[in-house]
Amino acid sequence: MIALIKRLVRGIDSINNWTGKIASFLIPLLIGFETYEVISRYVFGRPTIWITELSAMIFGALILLGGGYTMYQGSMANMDIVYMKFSERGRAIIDSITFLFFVMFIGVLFCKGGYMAWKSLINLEHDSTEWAPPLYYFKMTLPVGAFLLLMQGFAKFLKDIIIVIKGEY
Amino acid sequence: MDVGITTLILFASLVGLLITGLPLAIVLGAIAVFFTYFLWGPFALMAIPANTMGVMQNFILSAIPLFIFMGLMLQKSKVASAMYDTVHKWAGGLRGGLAMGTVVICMFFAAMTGTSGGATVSMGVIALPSMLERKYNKNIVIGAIAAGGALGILIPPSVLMIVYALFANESVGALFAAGVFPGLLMGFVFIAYIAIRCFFQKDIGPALPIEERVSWSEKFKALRGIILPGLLVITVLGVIFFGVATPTEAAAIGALGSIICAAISRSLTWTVFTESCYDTLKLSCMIVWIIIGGSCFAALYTATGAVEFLKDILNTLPVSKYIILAGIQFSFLILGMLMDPGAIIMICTPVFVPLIKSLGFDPVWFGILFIMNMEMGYLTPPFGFNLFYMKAIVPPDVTMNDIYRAIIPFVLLQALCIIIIIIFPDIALWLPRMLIH
Repeated sequence: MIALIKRLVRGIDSINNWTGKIASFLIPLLIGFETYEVISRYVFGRPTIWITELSAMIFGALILLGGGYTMYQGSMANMDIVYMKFSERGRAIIDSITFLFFVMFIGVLFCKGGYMAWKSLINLEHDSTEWAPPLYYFKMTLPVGAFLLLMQGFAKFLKDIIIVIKGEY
Repeated sequence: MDVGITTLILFASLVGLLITGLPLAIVLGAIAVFFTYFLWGPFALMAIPANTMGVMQNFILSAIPLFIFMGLMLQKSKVASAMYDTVHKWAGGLRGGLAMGTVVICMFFAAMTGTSGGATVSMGVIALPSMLERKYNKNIVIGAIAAGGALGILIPPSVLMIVYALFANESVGALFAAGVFPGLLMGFVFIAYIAIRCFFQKDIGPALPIEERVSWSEKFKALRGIILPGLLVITVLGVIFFGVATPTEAAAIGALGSIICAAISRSLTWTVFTESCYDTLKLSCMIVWIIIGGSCFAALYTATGAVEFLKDILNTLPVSKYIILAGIQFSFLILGMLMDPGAIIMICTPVFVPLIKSLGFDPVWFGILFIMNMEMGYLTPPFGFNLFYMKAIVPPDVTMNDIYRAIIPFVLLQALCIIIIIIFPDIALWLPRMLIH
């Protein structure tokens, strides 16, 4: 049973690890696009109508898809002055209780964000700007990103439960 | 429910959840979900993803990963060690010269990058062992690096200023401009302090022996070390202040510039590049997910009427508005000891900026005071980022207590600078006014 859970946790870890690493290559893309915008404006004398919007979307996708990776890496900032005073097992007990709040927030992002993306998709929603890009691809990144985070949170929860029961992972 | 009671429960639950060690982004978001549900029902929950999408489509915020990438790249390139070489040759002959030069390098770094980590880590690795080897007093060395590194958030560009500007609804450019002179002031106050102490106490910052000093031609050759960083500073800040491009585009140009710097100094490898991308993602997500939670929390907080409530209380207090300002600064100081400066800015900006405006203070000026106070937050125990950085770098015989003792004079100097800016607001506000007209 525990071996099976550990395999599941490893699987989730590796999904988020790879998603994050691939998503991080959006950063050089962002650098490239925005530098091109400045060059286009001053050297070619014509600003583009699409780069500002596209950059904001790339940024959004980067952050939303990277959430799971950041959590997997343990880099979500918290206040740990009191928390670190507890033993490993104590911390695992606290975390498995506060997991409820995690699900509350990220779950709402997943469900309501998914609903928002779905509405956008069936209406084939486009942005109301000159470039008018489709918005539904972009809105899809919220439920996807929230799902990745939920999975990572669940993996952490499983680890905590094992620590609570067995005293170690 | 009564506004007063709601406000109280809101902040009590915030503090309560924070103590459990739950990530801040989740704490803020979960409170927003919980209260929205119970105050306005399940349909109001659509506000949560709507707020999130609002943050995600914010073009100004996309400068955050770019400035972080720039800092990481410069930290990994050999720019910092070339600059230290320049300082060594030019200022090594002065008493305390290396420590003063270290502060100058930190100021350069601050003007290139948007965070405080880059300068602290680079100088800790390069300048710290070199100065200790030359028999510099460890208090001066540790204090100069930790305090100099913290300048990163005050001298523009600054990621924390972008966050403040977003939540206070002010222009990023105006905040950047307002940070220039207070940043220079603080840097020079540190330098002056080091110079005075080393002048009177011969043994804490000994000058290099004559035979180790170099000729003038050597000195001019060493100036090459500051050409690249100098160009980068002029490009990024020039582009922003002269309105050539937006801060976000300037960040992209700077990021490209940092890749070029790394390439010229032959430290650009595939591993350095990918590691910089991964770390940028991690740090950006850490900050921006807190912004997501924070903006959900701020929307809830405004909708409950808590802002008006606190404003009314403050306006009826029978004290001078400067006493209230002092009280706010004092609460920032306490928070700075306990929490990460970025998190404090995200929680406190929506709370305090409306109050500050109703008291008749300038929100840009208040932002600068806020950021200066957060610099102290990087140095004040128990939770001071730069103290942990230093502990990780210093030789094992330097204890945490030594580090605490080393930073005391620098924290006092920072407080002095805050008082100067409170008394003379024009030091901060003159440049943004000039640039806007």
